Amino acid sequence: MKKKALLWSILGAGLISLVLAQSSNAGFIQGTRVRTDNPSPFHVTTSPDGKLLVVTNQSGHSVTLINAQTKKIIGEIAVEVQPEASVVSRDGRTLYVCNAESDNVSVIDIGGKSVKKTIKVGDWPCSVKLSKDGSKAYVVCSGNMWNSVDIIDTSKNEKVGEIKTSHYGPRDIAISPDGKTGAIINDSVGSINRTVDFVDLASGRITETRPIHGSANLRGVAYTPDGAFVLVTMEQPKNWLPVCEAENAQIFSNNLAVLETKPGGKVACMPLDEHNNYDGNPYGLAVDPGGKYVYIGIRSMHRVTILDLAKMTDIVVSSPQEELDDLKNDLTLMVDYLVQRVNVGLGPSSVCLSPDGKTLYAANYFSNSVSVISTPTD
Amino acid sequence: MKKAFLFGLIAGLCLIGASAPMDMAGAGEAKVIATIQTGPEWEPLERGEPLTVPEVHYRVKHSPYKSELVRYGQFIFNEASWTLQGEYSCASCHYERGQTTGLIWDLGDEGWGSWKNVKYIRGGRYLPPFRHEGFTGHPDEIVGAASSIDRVCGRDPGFVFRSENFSPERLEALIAYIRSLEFTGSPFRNEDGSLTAAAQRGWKVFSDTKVGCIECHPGDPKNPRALFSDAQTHDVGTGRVGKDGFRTTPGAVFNTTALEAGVDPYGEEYDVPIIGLDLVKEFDTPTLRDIYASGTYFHDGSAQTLMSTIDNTTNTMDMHGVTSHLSESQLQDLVEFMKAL
Repeated sequence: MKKKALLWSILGAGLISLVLAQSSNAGFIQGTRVRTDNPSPFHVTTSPDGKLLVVTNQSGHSVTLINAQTKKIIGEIAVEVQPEASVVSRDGRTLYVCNAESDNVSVIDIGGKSVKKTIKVGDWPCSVKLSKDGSKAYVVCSGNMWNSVDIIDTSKNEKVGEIKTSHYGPRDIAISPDGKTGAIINDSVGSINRTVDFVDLASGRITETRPIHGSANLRGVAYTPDGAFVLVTMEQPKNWLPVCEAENAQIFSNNLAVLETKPGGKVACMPLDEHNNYDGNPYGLAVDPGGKYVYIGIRSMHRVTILDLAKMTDIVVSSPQEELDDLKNDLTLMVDYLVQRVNVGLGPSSVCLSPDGKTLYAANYFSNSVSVISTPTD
Repeated sequence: MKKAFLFGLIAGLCLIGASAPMDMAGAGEAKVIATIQTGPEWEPLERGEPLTVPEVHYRVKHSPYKSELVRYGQFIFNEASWTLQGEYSCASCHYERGQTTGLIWDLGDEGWGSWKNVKYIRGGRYLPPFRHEGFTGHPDEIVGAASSIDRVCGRDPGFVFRSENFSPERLEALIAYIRSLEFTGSPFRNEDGSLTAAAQRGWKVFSDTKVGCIECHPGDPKNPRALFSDAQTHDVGTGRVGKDGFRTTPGAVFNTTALEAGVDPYGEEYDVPIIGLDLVKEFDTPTLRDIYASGTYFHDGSAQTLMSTIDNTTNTMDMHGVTSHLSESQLQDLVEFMKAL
């Protein structure tokens, strides 16, 4: 009996040390083979019931599972190289993780905390979203010479098709509230007019490609709950002047593009900058399910900016396109719709909301943490 | 007794009064209520502090890098507070993967009007010099890297960043990070890493001495270490000097005609000629590794696609390889080969 206990304890200790050794070795940086102990959380999402948080660790090559109620880590699962996004299936049992450098998707059994399948997809998959009914996962393949959003059938976990985007470098997709349309942002290298493709998801046909003039670094896209607008985080490079001529907002400015979803609708690049207070490098965004607020992770200024959605859309609806074009460099405008800036950890690259909209989570890339934020209340 | 009660009441009210504003100020506002640490706590050193990381070894060999220095460099690379009012970071142009937005800028440090496209900096450590003109062609790649960044970020006070300069220690960290960025590898190969049939045909064209690609871009596609560059400067018919300076750009330009007409000078004019004032006609031969990901091409971004680097539409005829005799399908094969590198 004693021998058995001794054997078990040795076996247990061995297993624990193996796990510890693996975790201490985990981590590379930016897809290179440079070792680092920093997991670098790049993306955060919740399960449909809001009970589970999933953090995608870009340099740690893993996903971390967190109990959203207790805020305790309940597991970490190794995936392939440089994961950049994940999504939980509608039944909460399966997790799909985009491994950007490996060009594949890890299918994870959440209960078993194990990878059950790996699906080959296009170049540099960096975003994944589910269709409204959860039957399909749309994997956005953002390679500089790649233009596909690959479709995975979630019942078979197989790639069953792809949407060809109008331009290279699709970066993110949002699904309309009615589930019929997708909005894909194309962050195409070399273009000063990056685009949004509106896709009929039933046929996979692009119904409209709308440019955002003077844009670069499109990073995240979301629909408003009423489906009337699409929001895109972006930067405006001001590269038409020698930089010595540059003054305020003349090298780069940071904006949230607001696009009407009706065909041929207006496009407004709403400033996120104020004099002496710029929102450098806006990244992921989330929209309040009640349609009241927009939350944006400002990666290079380490904060979450909260905007009043209705005030922004009112400006878009009430102004002709020519006036909207003039607004994009107006640094006095932001105060009209800025609700609050909340300092979080370093490098918030992604934000997501609990299903009730009461809690916001920000993945802090450099701090290796998730900030939990109570959202504004009336 | 009454006095004591009154005193107690006043004291109690004072205490409530003192504590209330703190609570009331946050009522209704968003606030961080918890932080879940998913990895080691990390925060950068204060700017005034000397770096305290252990001695680094990257000066003597490529690896291993000291991860803390690389991490700090990565943080600076993605930090907007170095720039005027927090406008942008290094990652705004060389976005977070060390790749490029493919846009052109007139930084002025190589002569005003000398428009340059944003360089793809992954794998940069293998192949100095780092500037398009090859001005930083010091044989020691570290010095080359340091002086290249120094030209933009350090030497001329606040030149690009409009803020304080990087200290030598921070510059060192930044360089360590940039040097850590590895090529990504092409997705345009067969599963086993071999060339596709089209790329193999393209390789034949590429290695044909009459075409001449391989003369300046030497390398073997089977060798994962091949760089496909002779690290020299060449005139390939892209230098925009004199009347050739008038050219189209891939970016929006400031339209003086529109300005004079009272119209928005930043309007819809995206392909109008601007004056180029390149100081030289010879430019550094870039590596072809990851060329699929590093567009736009040529020093001024005038070639938006790989095809336009070889079809004589953006450079003087047959100066960037002798390709005018090639068929359309041969040119396409050549593109397929380049995409596979």
